[in-house]
Amino acid sequence: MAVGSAQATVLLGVAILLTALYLQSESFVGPQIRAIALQSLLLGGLLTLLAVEQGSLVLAALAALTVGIRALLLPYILARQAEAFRLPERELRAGRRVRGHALAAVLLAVVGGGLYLEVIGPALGGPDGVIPFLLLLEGLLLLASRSNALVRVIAYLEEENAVVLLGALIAAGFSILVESVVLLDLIGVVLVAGFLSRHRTAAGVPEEGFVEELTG
Amino acid sequence: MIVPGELLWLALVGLPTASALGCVVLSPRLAERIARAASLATLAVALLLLVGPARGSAGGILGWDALSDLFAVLVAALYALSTWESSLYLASVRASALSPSNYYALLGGFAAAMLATLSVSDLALMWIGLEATTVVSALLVMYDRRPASVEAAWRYTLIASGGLAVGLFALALLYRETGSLDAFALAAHPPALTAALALVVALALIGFGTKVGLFPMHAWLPDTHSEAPAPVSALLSGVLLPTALYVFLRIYDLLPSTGALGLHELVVAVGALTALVAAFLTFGQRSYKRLFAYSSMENMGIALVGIGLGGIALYGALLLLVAHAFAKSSAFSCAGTALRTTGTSRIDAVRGFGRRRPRTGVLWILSGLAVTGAPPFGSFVAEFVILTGALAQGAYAAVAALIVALAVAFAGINYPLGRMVFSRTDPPDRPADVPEGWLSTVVPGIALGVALAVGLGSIPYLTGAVRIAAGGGFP
Amino acid sequence: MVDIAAQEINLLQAAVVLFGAPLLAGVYARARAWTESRQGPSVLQPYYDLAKYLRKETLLPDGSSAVFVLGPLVAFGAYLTIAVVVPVVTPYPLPYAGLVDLLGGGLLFGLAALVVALAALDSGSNYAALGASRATVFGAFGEPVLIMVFVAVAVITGTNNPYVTTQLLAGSASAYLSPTHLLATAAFFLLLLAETGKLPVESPGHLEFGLMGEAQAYEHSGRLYGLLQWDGWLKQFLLATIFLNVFAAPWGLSASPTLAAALANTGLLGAKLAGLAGLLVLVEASLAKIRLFKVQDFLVIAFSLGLLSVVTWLWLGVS
Repeated sequence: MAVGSAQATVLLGVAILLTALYLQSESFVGPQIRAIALQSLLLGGLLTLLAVEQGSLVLAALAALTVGIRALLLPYILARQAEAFRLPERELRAGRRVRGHALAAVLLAVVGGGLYLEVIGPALGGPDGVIPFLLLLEGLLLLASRSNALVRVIAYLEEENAVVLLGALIAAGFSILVESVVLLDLIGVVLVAGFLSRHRTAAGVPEEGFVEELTG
Repeated sequence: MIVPGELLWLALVGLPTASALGCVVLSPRLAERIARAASLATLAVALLLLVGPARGSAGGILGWDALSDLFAVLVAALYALSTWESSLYLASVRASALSPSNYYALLGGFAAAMLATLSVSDLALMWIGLEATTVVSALLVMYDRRPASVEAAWRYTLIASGGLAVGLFALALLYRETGSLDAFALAAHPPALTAALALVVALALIGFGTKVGLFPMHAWLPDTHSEAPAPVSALLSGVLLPTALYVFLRIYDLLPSTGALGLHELVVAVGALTALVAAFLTFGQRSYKRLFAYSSMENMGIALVGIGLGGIALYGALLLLVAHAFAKSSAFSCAGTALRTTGTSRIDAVRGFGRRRPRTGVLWILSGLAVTGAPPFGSFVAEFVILTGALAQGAYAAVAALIVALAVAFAGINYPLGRMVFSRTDPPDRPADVPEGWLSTVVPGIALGVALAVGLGSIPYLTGAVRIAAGGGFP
Repeated sequence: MVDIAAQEINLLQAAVVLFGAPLLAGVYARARAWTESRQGPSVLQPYYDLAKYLRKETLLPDGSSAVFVLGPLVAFGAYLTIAVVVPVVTPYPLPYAGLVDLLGGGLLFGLAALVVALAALDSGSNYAALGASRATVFGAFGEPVLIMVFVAVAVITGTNNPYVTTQLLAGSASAYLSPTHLLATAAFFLLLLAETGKLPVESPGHLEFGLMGEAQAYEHSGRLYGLLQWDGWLKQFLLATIFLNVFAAPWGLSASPTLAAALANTGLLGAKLAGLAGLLVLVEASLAKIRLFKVQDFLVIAFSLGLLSVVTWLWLGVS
C-alpha cells in the first residue's frame, strides 16, 4: 500500500474514532444524528480509498451502499423519527452525566487500545484492527449508558460501522454480499425501533424506561 | 419416493413464509386457517427430515446435518403448537397495535427466520437469520401494546441487536483467520487453534450468548418472555434460545476437544453461573411468567455446561433442549390460560386456580415439574446425563453448581406454582369457570406428552450414563 | 565565544515579542470590530494605552504587600524569558535557548499565571480574588493540556526541544499529517482559545461576564496595570507564535544565521499571525459563549484530544 493512502487510512480511522467520542459527549439528539451520518460518510470515504487502492469494484459498490444507506438514508429516517417525537433537540436529563460519559469514553478508548495492543493485536498479527475494536467498545458503551430511544439506535449503527470497518481493514473480502444484506437488516432494525419507540411514547413509558412490571 | 433434502429444507423455510404472505395478501379473514394449515404442513415436512435418507449435506447456500434436523423438528413442532393456540390469546386482546392477520403473518415470519437460520451453511447467513428473528419477534412481543410489553420489546430489540453485532464482529475475525465462513467446511477441516480463534469463540460467546440470555447479558430475557403473548413466549423460550445456541455451537465446534486455552472451562463457567443466577432470581418474583422466563435461562445455562463439557454431556444438553422446549411450551400455554382466567400475572393475586380450571391446573403443575427436571420427564434424564458426564470428566465445581441451581430452581418455581394452583380461593366455594375450549387443554397436553415421551424414550441414555459413571464406554 | 550576529538576532527576537504583542492585540481588536460592522480603535491603540498607563500614578491598596507589586513584574520577566527560548524569528536555537525546554516553557507560563493570581489575592478585593480563583481553577485544567501537548510533541521527535520539532515537522509531510501531531495541534488550538480569553470560553471586552483573567487586574493601577495588560498581550503573542512555529505552520523559516534572514522570518511570522488572527476572528464571530460551568468540559475535551494524540502514537506510531 502506498505511503500516502496508508496515512489517509489512518487519519480517516482516527477521525471516525473522534466522531465516536463526540457521540458520547453530545447530549442532544439532533447533532448526534449528524455525527453518525458523518461517521458513516468517513467510513464510506475509507472504503472508497481501499477500493481504489485494491482496484476492487465490489468494495466500491459497498462504499456507495454505505454512503447511500448509512450516511444518507438512515440518518434521514432517524431525523424524521426525531421530528415525530417533537424532540429534535431534546436534552438528556442531566448534562453532568454526559460529561461523565465523555470521560468514560476517553478512558475506554485508552484502556481498550492498550488491551488491543498488548493482548489482542499480537494474536491477530498487528495493530490494524485497533480502531474497529475501539469503535465497537464505544458503541457498546453508548448503548449501555444512554436511555434515549434514538441514541440507542445510533449506538447500534455505530457497532455495525465497527464491523464494516473491521471487515475492510483486516478481514479483506469478508463476505461483501453478507455486508450488503446486513445493510438491509439495518434498515429493518431502524424501522422497527422507530415503530416501537413511537408506541413507547404513545403508551406513556417514561424516557428512562422504568415500568413496575419489569422489575426483579 | 425419495425427496431430496434440499427440497425438504426449502419447503421448511418456504411454507411459513408463504403462510406469512398469504395471511397479509390473500385473505386476512382466512389468516387463522392458512396459518394453522401451514404450521401442520411445516411440521410434517420436518418429520420427513427425520426419516428421509439424505442426512446431511454441505456446499452451496444450504447446509445441514443431523443437528440441524433435530432443531428444525423442534422449531416446527413448537410453531404448530403456538399457532394452534393463538386464537385463544387473540380473542382476549382488547387493544392491539396490529391486526390478527398481521399477528399470524409475523408468527410465520418468525418460524421462517428460525428455520432459515438452521438451514444455511454460512455462519454470516445464520447471523442474518438470527437478527431477522429479533426484528420479527419484537413486533410480536409488543402486540397488545401495554406499556410493559412495548418497553420489553424495545429493550429486546436493542440489547439483542447490540449483542449480535459483537457476534458479527467475531465472524469477521473468523473470516480473517480462516478465509471461510462455511460452518460445515470449517468443521470438516478445523483451523489450527490460535489465540485469534480463541478470541473469536470468546466474542461469539458474548455476542450469540446475548441472544441465548446468558449471564450477564440476560437483561432482556425475563422482560421479553414475561410480556410477550403466551404462544410467542413459548416460541421464544422453547426454540429461539436454542436456535441462538445452535449458532454458537457451530462456532464452538471449531475448537479442539482438549487444551483450548481455557475456553471449554470458560463456557462451562458461564453456563453454570447463568444457571445459578437464574435459579436464585426465581425467589421473590411477583409474576408467574417471569418465573418461567428465569427457568428458561436456567435451562440454557445447564445446556451450555453440557455443550462446554462435550462427550456424553453434549448428548445430555441436546436432550435437555428437546425436553425443555416441549415442557416450556406447555408451561407458557397454561400460564396464558391463567392470565386470561384471572386477569393478572401477579403470583400473590392468583389463588385456588386448580378449582377454577382443574385440567389446566394439573397440566400446569406437571409442566412446572417437567421444566425443573423432575422424573420421569425428559429434562430429568438429560440433567442426569449432563451431571454424569461432568463427574466422569472430574468437573466437580460444575457438578456442585448445577446441583445447587437445580435444587434452588425446583423450589423457587414449584412452590409458588403449587400455592397458586392448590390454595383455597376467597370466597372459598367459588364454582369452576366455564371451560375455555378444547385447545387450551389439548395443546399443552400434547406438549407435555412429548416431554414425558422424551423422558421415557431416552432411558437408554440413562443406562449409558450409568455405565460411563461405572467406568465403561458409551454404548 | 560570543557570536555577534546571534546576539543581534536575539535582541531582535526580544524586541519583536515585546513590541509585536501590543500590535497583535491592536490588529485583532480592529479585525473583530470589522466583523461587528464597527470602525473600531486604531491598531496602535494598545501602544497609546500603554503609554498612558505608564505615565499615570500608581496606587497601592491598604494592607497589600510586596506580592502585589512583584506579581506583574515577575510575570513580565517570565514572559520575556520565554521570548528568547522559543522559535520566533529563527528555526535554529539562539544562545539562550538551552535555558529551558518546551516543558520548562510550560512551567514558566504556569509561574506567570501563579504570580498574577497571587498579586490579585494580595489586593484584598473580592472581585480580584474571584478573578484569581476562576483563573486558577481553569488554569488547573489548562496546565495538564499544555503538558499533554508537549508530551505529544516529545513522542513525535524523541526530544522536547521545540527547535527539533519545528525542523522535523517542516521537513516531513508524514510526520505533519500523523494523527498524533494533528490531534496535538487541535488540542493546542483549543487551549489557545481558552488561555487568551476568546469565545467560546470568554467574552471579550471591558465588561467581561466570566470574571476570569481580566478581573485579576481590577485593583492594579498606573504602571502596574500597564504591565499586567502587557503581560496579557505577551502571553497571547507567545502562545500564538508557539502554536504557529512549532505546531500548525512550521514552514518557510530561513535557517541562514544572518540578521537579514531573521528579519525576513519576522515578516513571515507577521503574515502567519495575521492568518491566525483571521481564523480566530472567524471562530469568535461564529460561536456563542458557553456557560461558565462548561469551561471545564471544554478543557477536558482539549485534554482528551491531547491524550488521544499520545495514545495514537502508541497505537500507530508515526510513519
